[in-house]
Amino acid sequence: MENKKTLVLTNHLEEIEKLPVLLEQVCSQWKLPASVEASLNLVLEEAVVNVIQYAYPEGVEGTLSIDVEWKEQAGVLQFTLSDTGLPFDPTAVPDADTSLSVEDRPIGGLGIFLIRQMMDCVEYRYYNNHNMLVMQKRITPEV
Amino acid sequence: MTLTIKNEGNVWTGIVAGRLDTVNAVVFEKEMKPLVENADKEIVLDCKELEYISSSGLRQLLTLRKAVDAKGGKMVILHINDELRNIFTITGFFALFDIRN
Repeated sequence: MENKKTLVLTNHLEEIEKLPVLLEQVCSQWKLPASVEASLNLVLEEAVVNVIQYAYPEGVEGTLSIDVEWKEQAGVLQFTLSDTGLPFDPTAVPDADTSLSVEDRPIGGLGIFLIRQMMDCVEYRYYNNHNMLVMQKRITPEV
Repeated sequence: MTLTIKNEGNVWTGIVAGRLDTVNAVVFEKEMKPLVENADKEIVLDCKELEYISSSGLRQLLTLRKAVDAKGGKMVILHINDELRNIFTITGFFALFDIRN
């Protein structure tokens, strides 16, 4: 059985509404527990929104593709996001300081932090004019 | 996502339901204005029917919390689900908000 799926999105924010649909398919098809759907949705949304908002200059149409692969033997679900926008390494962004008070807490900066916290491995590379973000999560399938 | 706002005396209650994702957070930001304007009073955010939140939604909650802090009011968050509880734990939001069942 082929454990791969690809979804191509345009750089419009409304496209994120396709993510819960994709994850529902992924989890039911590969028998992954529904309990991981919400956190995977969050991770994908943060990564995708980042590309949609920042990768392409204003008014420029662009796409990003999401490859999902379930590595059954290893029990690893892998997402690979790729786009041809401006080079940007989200893994180089410093972690949010979650110990700050209400007053000192910056409003933004939580998206990438959440990705790192939720996933087991996050790697970025710029290859052949493509931003590639690879994110892996170990998952125990349902019996 | 829907946000229903009710006012009784000094208490302003926002009942948020559905998905607070990046798209819906823009709507939420506009609709929560009455809560921000009354941030000197008691703000209650009832999340019993809030299914999902991403960082854009968290940002709005933090904006509201900062307004309450600046104007000297109070804010309580009620009934968050397990997924939200997990996200609030990771992001340190339990230290910033009064969260009750």
